[in-house]
Amino acid sequence: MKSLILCFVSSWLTAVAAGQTVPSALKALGAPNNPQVEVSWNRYYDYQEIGAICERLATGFPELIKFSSIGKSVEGREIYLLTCSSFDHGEVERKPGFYIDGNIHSNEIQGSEVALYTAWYLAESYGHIDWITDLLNRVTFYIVPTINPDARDNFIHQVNSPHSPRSGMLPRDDDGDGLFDEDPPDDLDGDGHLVLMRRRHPNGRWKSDADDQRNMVLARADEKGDFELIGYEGIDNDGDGQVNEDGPGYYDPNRNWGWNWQPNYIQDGADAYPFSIPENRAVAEFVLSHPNIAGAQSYHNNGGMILRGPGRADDSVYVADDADVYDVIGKRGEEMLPGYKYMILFRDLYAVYGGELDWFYGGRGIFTFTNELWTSFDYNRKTAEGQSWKDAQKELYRFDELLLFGEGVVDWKKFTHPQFGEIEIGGIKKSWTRTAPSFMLEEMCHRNMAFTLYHADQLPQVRIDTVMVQPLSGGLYQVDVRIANDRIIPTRSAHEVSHQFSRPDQVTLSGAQVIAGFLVTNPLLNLSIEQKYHPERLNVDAVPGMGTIQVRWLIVGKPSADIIFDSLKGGRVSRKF
Amino acid sequence: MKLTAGLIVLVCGIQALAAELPIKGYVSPDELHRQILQLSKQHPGILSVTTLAQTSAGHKLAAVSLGAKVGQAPAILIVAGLEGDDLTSAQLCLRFIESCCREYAHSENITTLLNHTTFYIFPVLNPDAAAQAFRFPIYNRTENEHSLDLDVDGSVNEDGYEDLNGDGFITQMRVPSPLGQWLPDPKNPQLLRPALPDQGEKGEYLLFSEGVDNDRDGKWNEDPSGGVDLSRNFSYRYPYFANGSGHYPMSEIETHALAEFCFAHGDIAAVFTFSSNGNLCRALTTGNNHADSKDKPLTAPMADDIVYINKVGEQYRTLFKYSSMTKEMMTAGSCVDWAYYHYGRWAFSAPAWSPGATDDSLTNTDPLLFERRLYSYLEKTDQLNKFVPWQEIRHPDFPDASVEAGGFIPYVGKNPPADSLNSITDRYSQFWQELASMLPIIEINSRVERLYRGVYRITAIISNGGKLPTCSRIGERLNWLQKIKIEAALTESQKMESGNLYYLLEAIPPGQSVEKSWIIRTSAPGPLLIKASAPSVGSAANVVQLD
Repeated sequence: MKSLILCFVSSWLTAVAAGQTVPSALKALGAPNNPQVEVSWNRYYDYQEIGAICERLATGFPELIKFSSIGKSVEGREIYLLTCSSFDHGEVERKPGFYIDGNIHSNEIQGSEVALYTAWYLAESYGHIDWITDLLNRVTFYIVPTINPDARDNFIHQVNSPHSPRSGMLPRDDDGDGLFDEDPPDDLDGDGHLVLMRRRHPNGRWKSDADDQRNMVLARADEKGDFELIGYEGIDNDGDGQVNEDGPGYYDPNRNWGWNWQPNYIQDGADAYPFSIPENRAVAEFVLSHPNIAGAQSYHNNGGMILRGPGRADDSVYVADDADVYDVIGKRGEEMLPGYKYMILFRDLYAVYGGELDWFYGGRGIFTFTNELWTSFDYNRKTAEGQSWKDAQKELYRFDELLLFGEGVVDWKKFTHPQFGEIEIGGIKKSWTRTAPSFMLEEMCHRNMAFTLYHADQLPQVRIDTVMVQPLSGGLYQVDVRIANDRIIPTRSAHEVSHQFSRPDQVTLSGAQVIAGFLVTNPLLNLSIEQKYHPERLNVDAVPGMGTIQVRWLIVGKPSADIIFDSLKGGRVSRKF
Repeated sequence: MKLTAGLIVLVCGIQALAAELPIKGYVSPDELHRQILQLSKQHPGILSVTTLAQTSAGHKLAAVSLGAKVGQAPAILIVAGLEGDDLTSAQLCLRFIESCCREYAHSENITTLLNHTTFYIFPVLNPDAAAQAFRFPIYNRTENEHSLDLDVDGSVNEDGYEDLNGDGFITQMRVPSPLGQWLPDPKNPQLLRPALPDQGEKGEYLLFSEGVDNDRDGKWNEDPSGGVDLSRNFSYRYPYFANGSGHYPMSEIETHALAEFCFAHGDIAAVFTFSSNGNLCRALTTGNNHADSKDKPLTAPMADDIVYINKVGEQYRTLFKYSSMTKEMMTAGSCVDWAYYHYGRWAFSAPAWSPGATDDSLTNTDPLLFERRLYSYLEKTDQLNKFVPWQEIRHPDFPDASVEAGGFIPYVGKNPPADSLNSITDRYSQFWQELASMLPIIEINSRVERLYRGVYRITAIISNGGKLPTCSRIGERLNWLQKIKIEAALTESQKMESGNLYYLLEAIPPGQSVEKSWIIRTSAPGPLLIKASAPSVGSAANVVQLD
């Protein structure tokens, strides 16, 4: 009987995977009408479920999605990778590459759903929406839904607040007592929620909000309060006079990257040394072994931001030409993401050493954004600019009351604490305030994906524009080749060109005897520079965004040859003449 | 085809027999590993070897633990073979380990040393590079075997060296050319120096290392096998995009393994690294170092720390008598800077050996200072056969020019004849003993005051009897060094009325002490144990009687 049931379940699953839902007579625009792989985008997934979705996508779309891993986490989980591209169009690793990850901060989980949604949407729409078909023919996406799978599961399955843990799971001695992770927060009443502790106190500075008794507000300056707030649920596990001072982790995975890294006396959370965190190192090594990656996106929460570097005012690598590219894409993002602002990290948010986006751009010249998903604008589609912390807090209690019917908050209840005596426990659940509720999640996924696809669409698209052959005297020919880039992003960022840490683009003429080769620096004035060595393979700094370069050869013999343009990030194109 | 390959090997083999290794009497990294492993089997009580990783070329990367109380005593970490062409430091480590094994339980000094101090030794951090000294053609190699595109042209390892005159060594080659920037030095025509155009001089030669332009790009030997120079791969002042520094700080198997080892060993109190220039060869001076800034990295050691680094430096200079070093104090991305600024330990560095480093007759501004010292050292010690006189060779890239090959044989600049290794080891052994004796020592004295029946104030006085503070200022800032933890181990009948279960102590300078106190109420008379410990300092305990 048992095996029969299993049999039934598995055939049902297969049926779902093969797209057996009934298509609507009126397709709602956006999502596929009859998806090959059914996935709900109104819920959050843990590590195992993410793996299962990846598996189903790869099985459902073998010509578009490959499922693998870029390495292992601290606790031995795989760091899953979905490679998405049309495998029938060009060599995957030679197409311009776009990297996406989410969830570097453990509690900032919804980036994984956005990343998964992107893979799903791309695959489902290939062959149905021309724009997407063209994109997957040209570009390879490397999608890592979570680069922090251990702590994602900790956030989901363990008792946490909306803000814990930010760290990964590498054990660290946070309080310097020689013990590791010995005083984590505790779910005192065993209700599965880590919320606040308050104690009635005749001289307390806090009181209940008159509009919503669940909310705590500061008493007026000239008014007595009723409570003191004691922090998140916990006891002094190690008897050292401190509560919750050494939980799992603690470091900031987004301060540990090998660009402008500084130790923790300057940069809090930096951890021991650049890339001491295995998950980060796995990403760096993956990126280094995929030099075609030219654009990248990481998803965080929250605040409604489209962030770019530099993280520090004194980091001078964001040269003007590259900043222009960032500005165009970032501004377009503001249009697609209501309530989101395009910001420069150090200038508009805070200064950071050793952040991920700075390594991607500073270390590898990859145009990279970080989106802070979910913003208080989303509550009521009203700007929150200038809103006080107190008003913001009131607004989310109001939202909980009107739209979540109280599901986001644990009501205060009494508890006898071993150290604090009679207290009360209550407050906001971990799944509220930083993450979207179910009915807003799909929109968040789609809009952010759309921004990222716009960015990916702007990866260099290079073609051989014109080949002009001009006979000179005595069997000598002058061959001029113009190469064009039809997108905004150059084949090598200006930063990369100025520091020459990647090989130049190469334009090769083969099949004819080359006498000399030149870079034409000014076609109008006919100025050129000879490349003395290997004139048949001309080195070019980059093909600029929406621009062209021109090269020239003098050849003898038959005026026919192959022209090959070969760029790490710009791909490879060729033409015979 | 196979036959040709065989023939080449055979020819190289013959060449190898004809040429003498410049470092005759030195042992290769693999042999050194084998010998230390052998010793560890004979002396398991004080010596053990852990293989941490395998390098790109397949060598074992080993960490050696030497001491009778490993894990319970403060440790000194020694990093050798960090600069690939420094072979000497590895040989010194081997000899130091051998002598410790030989003398432990026989000589009082060594017995005391190993009973109170642990040595963690990385005898060869860059075995990939060091191995090049033991196979032909021999060239000064600083890069590991991690294959990188050093000239960023899209090809890897495509333009290495060639031994054009067949002597087994890669020396230099000079090509007469109107574009040349080099001139024979008037004082010693065997040496070349840059021409000084502002003094009306014109260069005569182009100067290259020995080899051909394999990839015909107008550059010679610009992308040999490998790699990363580990001595420039560390995270303090890491030189981004510099040739041979790697793709990112701490990127290499070797540097990564070292860092992991260090952060897993809280007992390490001090680090000594061998490097061409170091903080022990001349006194450091204080200056503006951004110490007051909350968000700018330090640019020089903390003023309080400099005092103690210089005290250690004085000991070093007394033993080694090196006159001031020539180059910039530290290279960017060095191990010793990392050990101080990012690992937070007392960190010291000096060369294993430097030719003529005690010779004061030459001025520091001489552009050929190092070469002159080396040449005159070879002359004085009757080793001029280690300088290949310039001799004409045929060069395929310059068919019409009279190209000459010559210059110093590889490795002679950093590695003395093997017969001097024992005496250098003795001096380093003395220095490390001296350093060990300067490490902080904690002592506890306790005072009991009876306040009432069964109520006591216990005051513990923790003092430092060593010559270095219990923690450097940088160590305090970084938070990676476990502070001294002092605790009163209460029995069932003792209750703490005031005070913390434990206190973490800030640095105690030598000869100074701090006090911590508790109020304890007892229900029955009995002893109270007070203990203080930190992995990098050691421990002390004191029992007081509460009657």
